Amino acid sequence: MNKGRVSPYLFLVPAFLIYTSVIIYPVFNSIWVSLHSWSGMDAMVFIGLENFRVLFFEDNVFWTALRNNLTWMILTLLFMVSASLGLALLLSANYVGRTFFRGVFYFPFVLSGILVGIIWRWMYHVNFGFFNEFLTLIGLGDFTQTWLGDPDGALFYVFIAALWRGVGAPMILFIAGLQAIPKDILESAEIDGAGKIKTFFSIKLPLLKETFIIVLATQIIGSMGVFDIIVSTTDGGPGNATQVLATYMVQQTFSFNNMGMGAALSTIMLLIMMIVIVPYILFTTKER
Amino acid sequence: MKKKMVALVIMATMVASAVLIGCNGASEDTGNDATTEAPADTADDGADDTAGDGEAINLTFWGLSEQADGKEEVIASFIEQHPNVTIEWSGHSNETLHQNLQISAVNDTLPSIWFMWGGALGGRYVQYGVSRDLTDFANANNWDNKFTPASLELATLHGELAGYPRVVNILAVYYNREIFADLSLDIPTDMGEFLNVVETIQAAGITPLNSASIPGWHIMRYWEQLLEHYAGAELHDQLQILEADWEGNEAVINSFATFQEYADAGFFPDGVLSMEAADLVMLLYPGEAAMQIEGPWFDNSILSDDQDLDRFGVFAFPNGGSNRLSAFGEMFMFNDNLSDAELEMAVAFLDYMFERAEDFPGLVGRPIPQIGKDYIPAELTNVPQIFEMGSANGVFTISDQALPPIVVDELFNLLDYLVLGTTTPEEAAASMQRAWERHLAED
Amino acid sequence: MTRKIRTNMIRYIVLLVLTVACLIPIVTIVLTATKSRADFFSGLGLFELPQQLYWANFTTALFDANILQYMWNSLLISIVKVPIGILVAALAAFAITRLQIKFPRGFLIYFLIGMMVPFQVALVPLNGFFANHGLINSFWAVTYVYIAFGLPFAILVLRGFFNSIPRDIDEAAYIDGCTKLRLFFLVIFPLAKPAVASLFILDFLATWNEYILASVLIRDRSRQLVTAGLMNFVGQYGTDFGLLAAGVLIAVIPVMIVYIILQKHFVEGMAGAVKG
Repeated sequence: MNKGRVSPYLFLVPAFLIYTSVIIYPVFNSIWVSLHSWSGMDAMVFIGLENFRVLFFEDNVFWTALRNNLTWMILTLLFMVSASLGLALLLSANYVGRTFFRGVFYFPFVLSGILVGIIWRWMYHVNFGFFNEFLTLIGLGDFTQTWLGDPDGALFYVFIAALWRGVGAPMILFIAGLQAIPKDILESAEIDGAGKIKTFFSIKLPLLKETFIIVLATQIIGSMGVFDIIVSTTDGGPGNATQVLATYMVQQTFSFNNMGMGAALSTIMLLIMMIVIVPYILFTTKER
Repeated sequence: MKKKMVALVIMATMVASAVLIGCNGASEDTGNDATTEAPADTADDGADDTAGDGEAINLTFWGLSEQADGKEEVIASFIEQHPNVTIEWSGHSNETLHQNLQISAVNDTLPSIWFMWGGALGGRYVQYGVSRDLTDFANANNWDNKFTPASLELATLHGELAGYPRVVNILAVYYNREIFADLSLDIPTDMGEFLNVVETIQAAGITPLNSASIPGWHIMRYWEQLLEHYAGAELHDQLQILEADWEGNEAVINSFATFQEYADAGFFPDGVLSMEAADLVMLLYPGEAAMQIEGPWFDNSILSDDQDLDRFGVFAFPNGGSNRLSAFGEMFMFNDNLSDAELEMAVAFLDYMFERAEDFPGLVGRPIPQIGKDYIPAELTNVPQIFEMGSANGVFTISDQALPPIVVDELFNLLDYLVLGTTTPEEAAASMQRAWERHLAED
Repeated sequence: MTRKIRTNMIRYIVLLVLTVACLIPIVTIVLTATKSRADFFSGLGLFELPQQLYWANFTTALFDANILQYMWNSLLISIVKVPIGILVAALAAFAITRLQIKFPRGFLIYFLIGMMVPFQVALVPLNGFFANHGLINSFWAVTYVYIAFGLPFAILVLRGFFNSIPRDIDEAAYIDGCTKLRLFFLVIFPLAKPAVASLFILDFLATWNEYILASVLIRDRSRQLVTAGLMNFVGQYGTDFGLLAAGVLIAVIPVMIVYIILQKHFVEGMAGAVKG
């Protein structure tokens, strides 16, 4: 069936080589380093799984970071997914200004996470930020907060910034998914007298299954890897209240010169993501 | 298709070399031998020198982006005089400098010269033998007569002269003269007066002590003064090298307790835990905050923000005893693999750079710690006083340079927890001890 | 009809409220960018109007702070990186979906694992390789790394899109004597135009906003990329907020242009990703 002399594998060669050298090789390198005690400047000492043992049994910050990643993931699944689906439903019908509104909600996504963090840090500023000034302006001065300085709320407030920036990406996926639903199915539902809400739950939602899968997968990956918006808003503080695995990994590697521990943290991040994502990949790549 | 060919060629070569270099960790075993190699290097001296001036010397030079002012010009005119030399300068942000140096140290590709702070930050390069020990070079070139003793002391780490001193920073309390005048306040001379000043300012609706905890070193500057107050000079110095235990230590516990009282009393700005040190001037300049612990760079900073420097004065934190101020050194470190000719040229370049300091205020902007070079830009009105106080009162090494990185990180967290009230002074002292133990276990 | 009008009214009201909420941070940036340093230091709130519109931040950012240079560097890299990256991904996705290879699913999984790799793990090995081969500051080296990090998602999207193209086309092409290469370049790749357009937007965005790798692999200030260049305004002793905000507003223009040109195909192209 394949015609021509060119081997089909040649098509894979460029992608395979680039990808393997830049991504896969460092992963194995990192796993190797995670089994060592190493400052980066002296000789590596093999210590087996000692770094992992310390993280799991002696390091409170690791558990805080892991818990924060999981909290972030839950917040993302609850709010990011529902907000983006809601916007997609609002924006998938055909009416004047649709392109404009899509552009508005997508716009924050074109800014880099690190800059979005800086902007939101100003918005949350206790003395001259938007939120406290707005609350004072509308007579709710008693409700002013220290925002990012509140260890119980800081992660959530940072998440709001991430939500603002990120909601456009899954929104576009949902719009694409909604538009892929054949018109005749919706029309026949309307003829059957199904209401908007019923149509949504019994027709649209089931047909969006594939879209949900990719949205959930990309959001879960993003939640485990969240980094730059945390760095530029709270830098993991107050205390370690907003520390996540990626920020802690960078701290171990570059502040403490603890290359082995940093590598162990990235290995753990990779493993957690694989536990969640590999079933997804297996499911979506089913031969059919 | 051409694009594809280009891509294919590039990546084929890259992958091939990736395989050739293999695991880059394995080639790192030579780092520790540096000290034993040193004598051999000096023996080579003559041979290197005879190679002569004509030999091409390529130097790379890393520093902070904010030090860029005048760098290119100085490099250009230096190279004009030395046509065989190239100097490639690159500026980094505070974080990326550490990150890039660490990454480069791993790969044995550190620059020829790099800017670094003293204490534990510079000490790690010494410890792992990747930076040049300048002790012999300094003796041969009579550095004792060239640099001030304090600057050489701050650049001496783990028994080596670790770098070419850049500046000595001494930290004092900058205060808003207008606020002090309006409230008829005098400069406090002991802790009782200080507390009185702080409370009066607070009663006037102004934040007394401007500070930020991102990153933690700003708010640390208040705490370490309290530790100096309770511990006194001798015990404070011992604590910094763990000759005295932190756990259960009354002075340590009192310093944390008073720090916590200050926070609870609202002496720091609202939301101090969410403040960035870089944003603090937005409270200081409009007079919403009255005092801020800063170093001699702050004069420059105030001027470059187009503010009136006369509004601000300085005093030593009245911590008792001789009112020692905290201090830290900045220096230039050299790659251990520089040949003697390269090292000489690098030092010659730095000498030249400091000679030109008057032409470019941003190049150093502070007194140069070299004997006979007591030039201070006239517009920096507080700087002379800070240095006079430093030599009269004495100094202690600032905590984030005196303590190991893991202990410093723990300290920053603990100060946050104390502000939040989620730890007690006693627990904090014990946590410091445990951080020390973790540090010792890792070394 | 009245019911439809009412639904539309509600829709617009909801959208307008959300739009206003969404624009607040943007307005903050604009207000910040038009304030002088004197405004900041006089205790004026970040959300208050400047005493007088101050445009010098924009001219400083453009002419004194090298923003144009950084943008030009990023633009060059994007122009090379994005098409090559998409082409390389498309070739691989083509082989996986439409050619007879062994373990197509294995290859796909292999490529998708990359989506999960925290990019920080690559910093040390990549720097070692580049530094040892004189490739620091190299345009091609950074391009190469960026291509690699874009591959997993591009392959995922293109695979979905290629799968949706009927297989009869291949049969017909082969019967006409088409080679695999011709089939790819003349038939399949052109059909994937919407997916390519949306990947173009996303890839361009990712390249434009990348910060960490650029700050490690590029040290020569004149070759710095735009986001890392903007971060130069964040200083140790003080951040020039006005300048930074003006820089952000200037730097976002090219991305917006790309989005506006290609947005027509954006949604259609993302369909490739959602079809599994």
